[in-house]
Amino acid sequence: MREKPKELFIIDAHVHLGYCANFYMPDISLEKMIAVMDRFGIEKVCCSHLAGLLAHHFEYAHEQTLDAIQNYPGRIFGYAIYDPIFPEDSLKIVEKYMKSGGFVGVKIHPAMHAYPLDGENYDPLWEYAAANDIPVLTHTWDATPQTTYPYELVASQVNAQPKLIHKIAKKYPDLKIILAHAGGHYRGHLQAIEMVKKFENVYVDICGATFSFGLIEWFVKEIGAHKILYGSDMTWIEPRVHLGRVLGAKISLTEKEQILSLNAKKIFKFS
Amino acid sequence: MNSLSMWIDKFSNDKKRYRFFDCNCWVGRSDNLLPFYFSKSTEILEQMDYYGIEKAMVSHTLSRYYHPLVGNELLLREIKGNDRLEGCFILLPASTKELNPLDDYIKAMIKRGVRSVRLFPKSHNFSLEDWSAGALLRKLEERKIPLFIWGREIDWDTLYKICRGYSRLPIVLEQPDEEAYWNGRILFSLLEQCENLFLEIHNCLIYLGVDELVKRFGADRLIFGSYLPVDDPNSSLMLITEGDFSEEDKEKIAHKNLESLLKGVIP
Repeated sequence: MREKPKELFIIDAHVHLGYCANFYMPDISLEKMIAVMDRFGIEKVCCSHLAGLLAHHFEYAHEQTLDAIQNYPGRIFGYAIYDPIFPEDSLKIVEKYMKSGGFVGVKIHPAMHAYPLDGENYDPLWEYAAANDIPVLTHTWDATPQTTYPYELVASQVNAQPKLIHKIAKKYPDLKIILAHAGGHYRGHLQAIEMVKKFENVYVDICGATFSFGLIEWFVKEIGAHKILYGSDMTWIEPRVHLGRVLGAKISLTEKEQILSLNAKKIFKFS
Repeated sequence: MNSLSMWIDKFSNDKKRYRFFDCNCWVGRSDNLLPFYFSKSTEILEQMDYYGIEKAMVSHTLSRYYHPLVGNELLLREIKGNDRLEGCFILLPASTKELNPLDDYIKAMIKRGVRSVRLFPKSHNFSLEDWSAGALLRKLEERKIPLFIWGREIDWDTLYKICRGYSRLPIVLEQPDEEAYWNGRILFSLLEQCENLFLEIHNCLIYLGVDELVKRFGADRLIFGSYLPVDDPNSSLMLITEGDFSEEDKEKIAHKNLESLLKGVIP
């Protein structure tokens, strides 16, 4: 067995804090997360708290995220969460925490919040993020999973289809938008690729519950490694799942470095 | 050499080192929409070389989507002469006599080197209750032929029932094409209560899940699978190569547990 490199260099753009009611999570502690990061060479993680995504408790979510940031400065960074169901209160909280240090972007979840990505309640966020050069990570997914026969519509994901970002990406050409999960499944991937090709300011991350054969190579060929970010979806998904896909992909060393580290450094302005 | 190169090098070497025997591999066309799907055993072997997978247990998509009688024969034709590929038949219950007589079919199957089966009760429209699949399950149990079954093809209560009802039958749960990380609360109870239940790990995506399973139930209950050519084997491979468990446990999951199940088949 070869020795593991000791240097931490990976930046994980898609991580969660907190519990999820409907399934068992073996250990969500910050101590364990840091140990896991050390094991796999992950230097920094950008986290959003699940209480704000799953349960509209964005005040609690931000308190917990700030606490994590302050406990592990330089390792844990935060996404503020904007909740379109409570646009006014939510924007105030986002503005407050973005000033508190360690928050590097805003996370939105049109499926969990059951509100369409291109709906007007998101407008205050787009204005604010564009004016302040704050990257936005949005959950995206396909509404018709490729492998689910008979291809039932996944209702909540209708709100999170990548193509819905079109008018926002066009209106705010300098706003950096990351399409989380790159659309989730094949039909969503096609939409995500179309959006990234069309707009300089749109990126994808690679995490999700599917890890199809050849996907990393396909994304690199279609949109270029400079538009792809490593995300693990920890503490839902094991970071090895997506790290292995990048390390073992049939792409160049430089492309792997872009995906695992360089692109996130640039977007989140990490030194 | 920088850290990224070291990681790539380490992963590549570890993959070869554990001699992976993949229990979940498919030949034949499917409804997979991705543009890089492949279907021939020669292509599977090429990919196994690239990913460092030494051997694979293979089923044919035609057995699932068309008919086992035809697909199983095509499978044997497809893998003939490849000692790195071992067949896994898909079977049907006895009553319609489609694989008639079932006992002879199973005997011939073993004689032809096939030591494992998959069932698709939902896709093939039969019940796993005793009145429907009892004769088939008893024959599998008599010969200790490992039964591989997908989570999407069986409800949890039925899985529990057949594990308890056929306690000498090794049953391996596979979870392709589903968000399997939801399943922990159910799986842990099943593994606790059913000693003949094993878990194929390719879709054990949950954060720290495989490590926790080894800690709670030991490595003996886990079996490496990749779901090639649908999924990317690098994911399931790294779950094992970088597992937070012993070298001995890694080897068990990588190949020894599957070899042991197949060796246990009574001819």
